[in-house]
Amino acid sequence: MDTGFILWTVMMFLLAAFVGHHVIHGVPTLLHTPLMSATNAISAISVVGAIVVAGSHYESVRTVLGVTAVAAAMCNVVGGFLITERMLKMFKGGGPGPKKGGR
Amino acid sequence: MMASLAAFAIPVLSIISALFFIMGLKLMGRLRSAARGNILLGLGVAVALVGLAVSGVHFGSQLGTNLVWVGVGAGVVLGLLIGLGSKVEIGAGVGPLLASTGGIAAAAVAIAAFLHDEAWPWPSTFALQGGPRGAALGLAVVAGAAALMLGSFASVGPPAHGSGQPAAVALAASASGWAAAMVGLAMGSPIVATVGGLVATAGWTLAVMVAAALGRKPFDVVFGGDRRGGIDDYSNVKACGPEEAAMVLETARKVVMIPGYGMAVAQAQHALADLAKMLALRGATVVYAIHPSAGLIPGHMNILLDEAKVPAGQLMEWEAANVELADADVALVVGANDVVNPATQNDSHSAVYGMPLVDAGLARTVFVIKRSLRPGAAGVKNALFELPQTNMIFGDSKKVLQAIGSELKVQTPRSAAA
Repeated sequence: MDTGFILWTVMMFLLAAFVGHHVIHGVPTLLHTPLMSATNAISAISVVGAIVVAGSHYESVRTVLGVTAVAAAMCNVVGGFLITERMLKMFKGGGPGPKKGGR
Repeated sequence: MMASLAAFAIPVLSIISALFFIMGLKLMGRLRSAARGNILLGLGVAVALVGLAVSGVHFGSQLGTNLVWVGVGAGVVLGLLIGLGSKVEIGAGVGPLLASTGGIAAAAVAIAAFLHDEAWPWPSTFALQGGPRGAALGLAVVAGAAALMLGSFASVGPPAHGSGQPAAVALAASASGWAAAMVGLAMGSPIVATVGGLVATAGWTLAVMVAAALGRKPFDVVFGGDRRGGIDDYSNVKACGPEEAAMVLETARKVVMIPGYGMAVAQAQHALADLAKMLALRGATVVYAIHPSAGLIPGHMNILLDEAKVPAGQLMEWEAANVELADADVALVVGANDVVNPATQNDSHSAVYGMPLVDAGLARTVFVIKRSLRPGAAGVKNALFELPQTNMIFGDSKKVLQAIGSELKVQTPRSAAA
């Protein structure tokens, strides 16, 4: 363990947290729902850790946890991505509100 | 050779992946680029996985490798089923539960890591050890449990909490982000820690914004705390900012302005005329709907708009304006209340029943600029504010109109001509 490197990772985490707030702040109401869906999809980034655990084949309990985690995270990424895309397609016709007679 | 390739590839791929995530979220903040943003976010995950593949992570056995593929396959199939089959509306059915899966995954990884205190099969010099590692893993489990709770709440919560569901989903995403970030810190994966942190605060900020649109705080919305005074009479009122109005006005072909007493109070006639001119330059048809009793005296609106040099040909009596409203893209209500109240036509018990109506609700999208939901001169509730196509923009008419104008300029700086 190298304390210097850990400091870097923690710093990076803090900077990322700051960026996360600023990227989202001030986004129009219209886009809240797709953004919610997308941020939720990428929260499955822990799939990286899950694959490491699942593949290491330690013993049954941890392997089951790992494989479950991989499945849950992949499901989150794929499902979230597709739902977000379908939501954005709905916006293609124009602004919010029910469509009257089409364009 | 492989080792040096991996040593070079991991940091580069991690940086590319992180950039994809940040740019993706940023692009998702604009309607026009949102679809590209979503694709970048997907690519971010893909690049992170490629980074893992080339990192030289050593699996215990062939069985271990196969198990990973089983998990990936099951997750992808399930994700396809949910992604293509479920309802798009986020407050409905399985969608909110999906918000918990990221947290569940992170918590499962944390528990597995907790069971044995040995090193990760992961070539990292950043990994926490000892007490800090345990603390991070513990926090990951707590955050994962919170994500599961919030997700299930949004999925099966009572209908009375309907407006709280989006906020609960955003909080679940935030909790999943915290869980992922803690796992990332514990295992020493910069990309997992970074993206986790990004999601943690992005989700929280979203929850705050969703709640603010309802005039509430996030936890009050989710758990049904006290409603703020003044909106007690109203349910399902949507509020938005000048940015959204500008976005919709940008593509509108016919816009009807409906000024009221509030415009006179705020002296917003010049700002309104300026905005109308900008829209006309973009090729939109703009007319003003003049209600006989808008303002203090009959003709009050005409005087003010004449002062702002609005051509008389653009001013319309309420009956003619209603014909225009029927195929208008946007009705922009500026400080008017009773004159756009549908109760004038459909509620014989209302104090305003029988008055002429400028029927703003006929338009495809309605924006109402008002300082608050306080009743107008007649002291009655206005059902227009609850229509699905209505968006409230709370604030001073003049300031809001100016903000919409400058937002319109920012969004398309050079395409002023039709």
